[in-house]
Amino acid sequence: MKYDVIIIGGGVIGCSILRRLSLTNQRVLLLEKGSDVAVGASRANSGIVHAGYDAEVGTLKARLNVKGAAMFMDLHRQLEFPYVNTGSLVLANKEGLNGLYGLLNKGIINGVPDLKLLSRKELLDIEPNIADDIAFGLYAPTAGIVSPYELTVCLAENAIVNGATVNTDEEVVFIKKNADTYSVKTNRCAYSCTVLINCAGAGAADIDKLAGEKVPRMTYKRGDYYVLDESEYTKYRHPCFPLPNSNGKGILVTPTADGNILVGPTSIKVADGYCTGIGSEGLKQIRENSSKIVKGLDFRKVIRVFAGVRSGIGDDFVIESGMNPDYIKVEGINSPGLSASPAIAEYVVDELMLASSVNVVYKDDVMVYKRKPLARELPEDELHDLIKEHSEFSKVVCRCEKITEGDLDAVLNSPLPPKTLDAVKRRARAGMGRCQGGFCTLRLMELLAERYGVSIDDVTKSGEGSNVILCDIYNDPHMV
Amino acid sequence: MIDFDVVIIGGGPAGMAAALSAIKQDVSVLLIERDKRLGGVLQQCVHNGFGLHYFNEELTGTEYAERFEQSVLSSSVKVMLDSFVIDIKADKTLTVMSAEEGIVHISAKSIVLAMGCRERPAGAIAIAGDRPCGVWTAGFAQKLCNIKGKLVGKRIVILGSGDIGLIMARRMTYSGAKVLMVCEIMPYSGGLKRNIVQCLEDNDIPLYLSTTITDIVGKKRVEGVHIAQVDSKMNVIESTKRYIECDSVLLSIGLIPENELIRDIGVEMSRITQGAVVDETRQTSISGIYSCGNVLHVHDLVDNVSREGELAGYHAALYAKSSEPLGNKKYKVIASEGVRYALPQLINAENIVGDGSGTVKLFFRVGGVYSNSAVVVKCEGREILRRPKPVFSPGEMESVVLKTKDITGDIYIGIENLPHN
Amino acid sequence: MKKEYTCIMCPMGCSLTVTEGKSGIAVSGNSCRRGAEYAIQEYKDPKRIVTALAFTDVVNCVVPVKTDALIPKGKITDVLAVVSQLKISLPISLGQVVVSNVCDLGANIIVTRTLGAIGKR
Repeated sequence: MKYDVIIIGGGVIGCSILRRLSLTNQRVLLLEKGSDVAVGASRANSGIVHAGYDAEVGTLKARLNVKGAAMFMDLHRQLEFPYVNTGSLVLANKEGLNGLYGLLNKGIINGVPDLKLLSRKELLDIEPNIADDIAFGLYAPTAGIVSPYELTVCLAENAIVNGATVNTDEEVVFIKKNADTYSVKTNRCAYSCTVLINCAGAGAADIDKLAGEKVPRMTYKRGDYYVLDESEYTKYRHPCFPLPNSNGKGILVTPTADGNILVGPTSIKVADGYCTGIGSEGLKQIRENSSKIVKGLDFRKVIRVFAGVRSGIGDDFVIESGMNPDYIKVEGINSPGLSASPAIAEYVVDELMLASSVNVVYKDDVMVYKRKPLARELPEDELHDLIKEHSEFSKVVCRCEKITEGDLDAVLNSPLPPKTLDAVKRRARAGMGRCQGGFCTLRLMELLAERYGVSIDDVTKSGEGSNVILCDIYNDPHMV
Repeated sequence: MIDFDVVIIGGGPAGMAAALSAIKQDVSVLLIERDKRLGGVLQQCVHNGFGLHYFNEELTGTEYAERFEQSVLSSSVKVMLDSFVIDIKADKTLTVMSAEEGIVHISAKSIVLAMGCRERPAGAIAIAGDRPCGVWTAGFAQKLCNIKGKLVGKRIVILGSGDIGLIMARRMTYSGAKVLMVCEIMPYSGGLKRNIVQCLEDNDIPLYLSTTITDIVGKKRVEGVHIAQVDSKMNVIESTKRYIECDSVLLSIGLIPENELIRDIGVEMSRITQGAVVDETRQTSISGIYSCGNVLHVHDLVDNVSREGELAGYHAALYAKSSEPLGNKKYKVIASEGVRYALPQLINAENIVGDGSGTVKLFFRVGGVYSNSAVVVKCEGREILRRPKPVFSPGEMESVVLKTKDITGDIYIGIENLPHN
Repeated sequence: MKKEYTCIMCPMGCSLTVTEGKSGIAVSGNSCRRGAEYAIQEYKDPKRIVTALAFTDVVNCVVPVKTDALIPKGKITDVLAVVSQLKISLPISLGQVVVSNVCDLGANIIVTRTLGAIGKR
């Protein structure tokens, strides 16, 4: 099949570019080797839209972060993914004042608007649970929190309703440069395209190698996180950072757009981009360090731990045309990649693609896909009428998050329908609550099986090889 | 708005018993259940050992549930199945969502909470390592096996020696899987002795005490786990670490009462039981709201759950008829040395209600294993009860019966070591 | 002949040793008479009620069953082998016999839960 543009990698970067291209005359395909979008670094990060005072002056990171953060509010209004413009705080004790001034100055040069140094008293007014020895803080009002996977799914859905194609479970195994096109083969199909965009995240170097492009040297750092129950949500109102050190932004405490509290990440060198095993030493580090900036963290309220890997190339993003102007590299997008994502997409489509062989023209009509509100979000009388018409909206599947069968039907029939239990969770939050799916998983499996006309035996947690059910009872030949 | 005298939330063993006991008092009773059928978790408890105290015979969980189910369905209790309570208010009005009726508002004179409990999930104990498919709570594996006839794995390591874990060790073995071991981080098992013998020893499944899973290995599916012993401070002893190849991990690491429904209405809660604070009638701090069964405190015998349901249902019916709250003055029941909690936490001072027998039964759990000890109950400095026992174990709920005439002030219940003779 | 057991008569869980010699059977390690009786029963003729699942004629739906009398512990595997081969037609009611006198042990296999025709649940 022939496309104008193929994007490899369905993370937040690939899907941002996909969505932007879907608003143009280009025929676009996104290939993702996982069974859903947002299954790599885009799933496992802090979910913060940084203001942009961290990045070194003059870098792509600085420019695209500040611009991206400014674009988020509009994008949120348009597409309605979970995003809150909370503002952020860097917290320091008495000795840290110089460090805060350093950040403030960098922020001003980077163009971050409205940065402000706050005294302890001012801090307490807006963030009551800061640690006792915190004396000063840097307030960045343009920062916010976002659900990174819901954002990614939302971008993909919106790209699809505007004509783009997303193929999951397709791993690129072969790339060949022809005279005017690229031939791309996956484990399933063969495609061709004019422009190829590498957004493969942790796998970017592998794709460069297949394409005969210069292969970068990548570094990988794992971040471990704790997620605390929603009952802790009201304790902290902003993403709270310590002063950054050479190892990154340090261990932060933040509310999430999903309504939990997140504590982390660590920053531990690992061998590749798929080393997402959580380290017990990392968890210990989080418990010890988080109390330096805030108080009252209750680690008995942990509902989950997870880890993500940040893949980097040198100190800056690599966003450039390859040896061939029809090959575009969007690589080494570690922090603040999520914050920069809308600006990265704009940069790639509006600037880098000018040098390519395709002629990008924006369409006049833009479709917007908006998810139906969940049953629990409806006013009572509307919900009553809805149930009278569709009784599935009364059948609560996930009791922790109060997600009904009707809600799940809608999700299962969305533009990018979830194929796995994890994908359902990312869209509907079913199973994300405090019981972690103990009660609802079986019903979710049945709904998935019904949707795809398969047996519950075929339902997986996260794609091929992760079936929940291994066999029927009495399957052991010794027994029968 | 639909009016009922007594509304019971939850159609498991506690709720069914409460409904049957309330209806005997000639009041109108509504039982609300979110499932398609009554029985609660007993529907997946196909093993036996139920009913020895209540029915004087040994039944499976399913048989036990069905006896109550039949009684309820043939009584004049109004049953709403497939119905979900979305809200309760302190004035005892409820908002219920049901397939047939849509959103319904119900006004009750008294409410009995019988929502049961849920399993502690893996996230709560923060195991290191990968997050592959194949880590489940024992109850989830039980539901798949006992209702659908499906196995989550063929080579299984069980973490935690709670009763569901032990029961599932035997069930998975009987159903064709190989259960390699049960690991318990504590130096003692959290399950009943009977289950350790009949579920583990009968099937040659080893139980490793003071042992935990340090990390899980596997990308898509569990490939193995590292296990290690822990010292008395729960620190992993690195030299004891070893790798066990398996395809699944089942967790039996505790149960948590499901009280989210009443989180915002101001019912006083116990931090220890994670259930409501109640008096001897099982009335909570909001008069007319009662709590019983596993939503109040986690039981190990369903027979006790049914008895507690009956007690709560009876008093909820009396309350609905009279609408007269009991006196405000209450004595406290205080768990002292060695006792983790005792329930009820309060006893009505002026008019001790009890169960009509002139006695009040106190349930309690100990905080550790105590051998050659006695449970001692004191009131105003007087010892009002002393019962020696060869051993007290945290896995088994204990009880003592107090005479109401002895209760003249706050009650202290503790464990005393007996001198060795 | 010497065998070890864990007593289940109370939470104490005494380690019981049964020794059989010329003078008969002796129990040691017990703290009470019930422990001794339990050990002797377990030594001479340990028995269990077996509970299990049986397939039905409805996909992905099993029905719970049990033996309606104690059977020798050593025969559990034989009984499970019989149960694993069953395919029970729904509807079926609590207490219905699905195998009489299983393995000639003098116990029947009975259903322990009423299940409807469509196998709901």
